[in-house]
Amino acid sequence: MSSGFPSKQQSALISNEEIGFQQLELQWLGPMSEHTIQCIIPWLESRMKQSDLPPLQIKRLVRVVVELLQNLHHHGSQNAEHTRFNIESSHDKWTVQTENELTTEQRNNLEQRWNALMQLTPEQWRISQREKLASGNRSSHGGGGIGLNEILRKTEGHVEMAFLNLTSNVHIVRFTAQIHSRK
Amino acid sequence: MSAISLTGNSKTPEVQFNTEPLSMAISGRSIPENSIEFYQPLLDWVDQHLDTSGASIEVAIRLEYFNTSSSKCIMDLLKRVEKSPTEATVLWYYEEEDEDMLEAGEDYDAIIDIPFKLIATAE
Repeated sequence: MSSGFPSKQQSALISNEEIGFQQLELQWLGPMSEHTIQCIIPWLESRMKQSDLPPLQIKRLVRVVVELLQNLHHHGSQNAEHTRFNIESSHDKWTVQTENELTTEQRNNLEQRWNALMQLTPEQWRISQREKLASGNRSSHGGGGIGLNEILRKTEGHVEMAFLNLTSNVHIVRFTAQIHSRK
Repeated sequence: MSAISLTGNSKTPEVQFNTEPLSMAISGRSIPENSIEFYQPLLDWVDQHLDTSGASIEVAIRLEYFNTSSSKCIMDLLKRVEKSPTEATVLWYYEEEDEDMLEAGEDYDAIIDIPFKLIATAE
């Protein structure tokens, strides 16, 4: 009788690459404090010394992780029950995922900015970021609203944003960002 | 306040701002959560010391990483240098394979009206 699973002999022939295996490298649940960020970044840099990602992709991964972690610190610390960060690796990419709560107003604002960026080409992301940089505007934590541009550019557009509705005024936003090895 | 000398760490850059000779250098990484708090004394230094017409200064920036919050502060710093009467040149160093840091230098160069030298370094 055949089960739906491959035999031991067959499974030995199926590589992690073929099944799209993703190794969970690190997961953090709960408030993202400055101290936690200070622990995660050195861990990531140390882990990258054993990675075969090209140097530029390693820098991009660190830059994306910094932006996403600091976003969690600024926006996911007050009610942190649904604050989550995890990072996974596979043979051809590293995937960073974050989740945090936000209000309907914050969701609408974020969706508006995201949808506007989705209409642009990569070169226009750069121009848009340059224009925001040149303006004197800043967010309440000093960022100037260029984090999304930065993440989109460093991942070369490999970012997804999704929402889950908890209540009519409480939502979870999930960012999934990927850095590919470019081999 | 005559000089600023800050040792770099895992979050903030090394800073060497001197008056004799006049020079500014920032290197390392700049990823503090509160970048405004870190950069405010540097902005104040520029206001106090780059006030002499006829003087010149080289602003050397050699950063490995910086977060978007720091990118705003670096822009503020360069704008203050631009507005000062002191003649300035920005030396923007980037590792030769780091096209992102090259692009960042090009973008500042496009915004700020100060001569920029984009200098590739070996990794």
